[in-house]
Amino acid sequence: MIGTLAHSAIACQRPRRRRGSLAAMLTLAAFAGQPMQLAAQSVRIVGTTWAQIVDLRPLRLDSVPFSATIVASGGDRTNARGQPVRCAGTSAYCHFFASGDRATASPILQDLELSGWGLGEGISAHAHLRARETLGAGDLSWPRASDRFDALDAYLNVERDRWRARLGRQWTSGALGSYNYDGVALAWRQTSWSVEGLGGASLVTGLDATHLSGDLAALDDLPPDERAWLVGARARFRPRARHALGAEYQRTIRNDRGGLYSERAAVAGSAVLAGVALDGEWTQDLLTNTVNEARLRAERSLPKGLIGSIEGRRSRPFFELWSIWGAFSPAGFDEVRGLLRRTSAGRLTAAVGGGYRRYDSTGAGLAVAPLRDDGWRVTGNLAYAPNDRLSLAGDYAIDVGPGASRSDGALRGDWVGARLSLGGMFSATQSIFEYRVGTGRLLGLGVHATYRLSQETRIGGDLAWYAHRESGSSSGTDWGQRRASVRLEWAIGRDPGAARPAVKQ
Amino acid sequence: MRALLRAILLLALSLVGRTLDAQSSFPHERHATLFPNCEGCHSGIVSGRADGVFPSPRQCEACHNGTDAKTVQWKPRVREGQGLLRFAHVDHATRVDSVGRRCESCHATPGAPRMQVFPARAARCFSCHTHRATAHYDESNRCLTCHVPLTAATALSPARVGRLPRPASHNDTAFVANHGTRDGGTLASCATCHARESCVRCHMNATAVPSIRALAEDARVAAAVRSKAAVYPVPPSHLADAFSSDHGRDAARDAARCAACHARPSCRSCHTGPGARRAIDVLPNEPSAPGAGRGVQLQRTRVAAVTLPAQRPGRSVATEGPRTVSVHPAGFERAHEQAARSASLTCEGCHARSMCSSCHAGEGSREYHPANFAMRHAATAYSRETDCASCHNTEAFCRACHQTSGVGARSNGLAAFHDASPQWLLQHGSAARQNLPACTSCHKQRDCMQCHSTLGWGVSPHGPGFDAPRLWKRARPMCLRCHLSDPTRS
Repeated sequence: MIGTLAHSAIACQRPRRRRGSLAAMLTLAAFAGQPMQLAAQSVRIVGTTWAQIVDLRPLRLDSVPFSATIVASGGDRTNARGQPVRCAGTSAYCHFFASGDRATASPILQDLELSGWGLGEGISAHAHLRARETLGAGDLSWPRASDRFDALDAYLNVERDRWRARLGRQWTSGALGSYNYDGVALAWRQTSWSVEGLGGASLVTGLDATHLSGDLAALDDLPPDERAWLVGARARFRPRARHALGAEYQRTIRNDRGGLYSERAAVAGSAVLAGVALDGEWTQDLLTNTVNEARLRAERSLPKGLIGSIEGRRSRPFFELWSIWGAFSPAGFDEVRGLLRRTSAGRLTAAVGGGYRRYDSTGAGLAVAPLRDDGWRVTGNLAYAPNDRLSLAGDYAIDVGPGASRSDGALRGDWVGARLSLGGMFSATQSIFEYRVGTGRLLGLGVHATYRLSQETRIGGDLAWYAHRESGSSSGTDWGQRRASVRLEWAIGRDPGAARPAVKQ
Repeated sequence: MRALLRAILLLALSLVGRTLDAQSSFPHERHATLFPNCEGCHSGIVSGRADGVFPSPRQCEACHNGTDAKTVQWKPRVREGQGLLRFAHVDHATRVDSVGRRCESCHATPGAPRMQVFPARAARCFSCHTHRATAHYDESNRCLTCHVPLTAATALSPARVGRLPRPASHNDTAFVANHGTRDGGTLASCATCHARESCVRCHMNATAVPSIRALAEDARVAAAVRSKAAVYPVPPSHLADAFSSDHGRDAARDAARCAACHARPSCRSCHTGPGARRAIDVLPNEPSAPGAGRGVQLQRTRVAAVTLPAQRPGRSVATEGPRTVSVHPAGFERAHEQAARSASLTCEGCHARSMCSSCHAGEGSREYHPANFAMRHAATAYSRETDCASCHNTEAFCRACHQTSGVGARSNGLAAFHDASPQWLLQHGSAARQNLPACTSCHKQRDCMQCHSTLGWGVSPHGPGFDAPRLWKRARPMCLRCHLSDPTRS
């Protein structure tokens, strides 16, 4: 492309001097040798515009005069509606939370994913940009709506048979999670193994901003006081198709070298032994010397087409130490899970599973009023696809544990046509609030549709309505919602991974 | 009148038909008492002379002269060129069966009246030519024992070639998938009915396959397959759950087998990265012969243009036209973390990094969460069924949303939110240690530091096994948020 333009420009110039003419010819010759390579230059842009409107009743802190409260059975004070209230000391008022007036949020999101290549053998550039805006004068503030622009990634990529280099804002995903950073990554790979080293300015996980970002400062009164650097390494070994082992190490260092924000390592692997598929991982927080996540799962085929798996798991939350939370000694839990599934002729899939978890001793709280220290869950899924266009699915789950419990079910049907896709869902959820009184049922009904305007353009939308009904004691909460969204997806430019024109699809 | 003419015409045609039938189906039984043996009329069978295989009209006229018997129209059958049979009567004429019969051993059923004959049937061949087969179209037959290759059967018309029978075994999907893996003897049998054009129709790499190259070209076959589309049924092996992750091993070991149906564009539909370059480059890039099939046409599921198939079991495949391939099994978008972590799959072989950010950036609607997730998510977060932090920043997303919806903590909240527990202030420590991420999704650090810091009431938040010296050494600025001096000395 560039070669062609340069060729035209030079060809239009009249030779002024012999030396100039020679230079022009040499330049022309240089470009003439390039067109085959430069002809592969191209840019592909994929855009997604997503607008939604959400209508709900946020909780509001309300108060009632102490004199207007009553003492309910058990000695708790409630307001006239039977909702528990908190009365502090000698205050004349007691407080409670209840749903306020209906409010609306209408965020709009614009994503652009750009890829450019043909800059030289194996050289390409990529960027994923995101812009946010709020439509209208919505009275609800959507998360991150004030952050108008983000570069999720923007990097230059050099790819060779044995190695790869990346420079810029990029993501890395692995056993330590997904996070991005501004820096460089170098990878060397052989047939069955690879190693990668990375380093650069660390960004806050899930935020695409440095630790000194105003986004954090707006939400926490003790935001990080220093930027951080990230260094890490990863090795992967895959001797056979179903045997793999990966190891990672990562350290986030304060810019002033005064300490670390995090230091972690992980090992994850999978293998097939005697017909049993094994996979597991171990993630260690080296700063606090605690296990974040340890897991081992075994899966094998059983008679009658069944596939069963059982898993043991140890889980403990991880916090970067720019905040104080990691010093609060979060307790972990041990869990055992099981899953049994069966697929019949690729059309019907059924699965049932369950798990039981027990928390470590917290060393806190009241011995006379202990909190629940175990939890369990049962899940069931059924999916049926009578043909390639229609699919029906249903699921049911019960999850009971400290803090929050739920039981819910959902039915979903989807029909996918050549251009038009339609679907609908119905859901019912019964939830026990987080250390709040009462339970509620939320019934949901939704429809969604998409229409493919062209091979690379699609428009879709969905509508959902949720109705909340309290059950049991009054909590004054109404999580009834109405949601609607419209989505436009488009792409221009050739897909570098698509088929060559000789077999154009 | 017109009806009468039509009736006469039909009658005349039927008579002509009888004459023509008589040419090819001589009423042997009616002549059983006249002829003592077969060689009287079919002397060429024994001698090998072509003009003696059938009797001449003059032999018939010895009786059918209009006086002794009515005249008949008889023309001996004349064969021009080689038929599909390799059979030569002269080789079999001197052989007799177990009861001493000769011609009848093939042309009559045992015990049948004399000269009740019929054209020989293929099943009769097996009475002597025993191989492993028990039926004519059994796929383990060695066809070349009795047949010449189709290209040598010059007597067959193009129409006849187009009507060659299709053995039942060929209708099996597994047959199409495996027909190239047979031994050389079996492959040689293919030439009985097929020419190179039969294979070129589907195989992109036809000229590179020795067994296809060994077949001769044939214009009649080319004409017969010209209007037939290439067919690529999905082999059973491709429907296995693990195929998407395991097929690379087979491809590396025997790419030529893949090349039977796939060309490079098939692979490049998904493998946009360099990971599988060596195996892919072995495949042809375009048809190797004029009129050759273009290989399986694949198009990958595009995240930006496809309904998330989270609830769809199996994979979507069609037998004709471009196929949309759901490479990963149903539910993979919710369960790919182990594959990504352990390198059991090389994500970058197919996906650009933006594939990760488009979902893990945590705001765009990708239908990841099930319906009603706003109500469901509390329990999901408490049980850490899903790692929220892999997509959401706790402060910027969870806390912001909780503040928007009114759930977020307020400094004047006076613990009113947690109204289910009258002793909440005394119990909250245990609840917090069990589910600290849930606390931080609403509370700021200073909410806790009012009590849990040396600047506040000095209540220690540190639990059993807390390694203060270790943290003081490696994350001192964090310690100094709550402590005015070295806490390990106090």
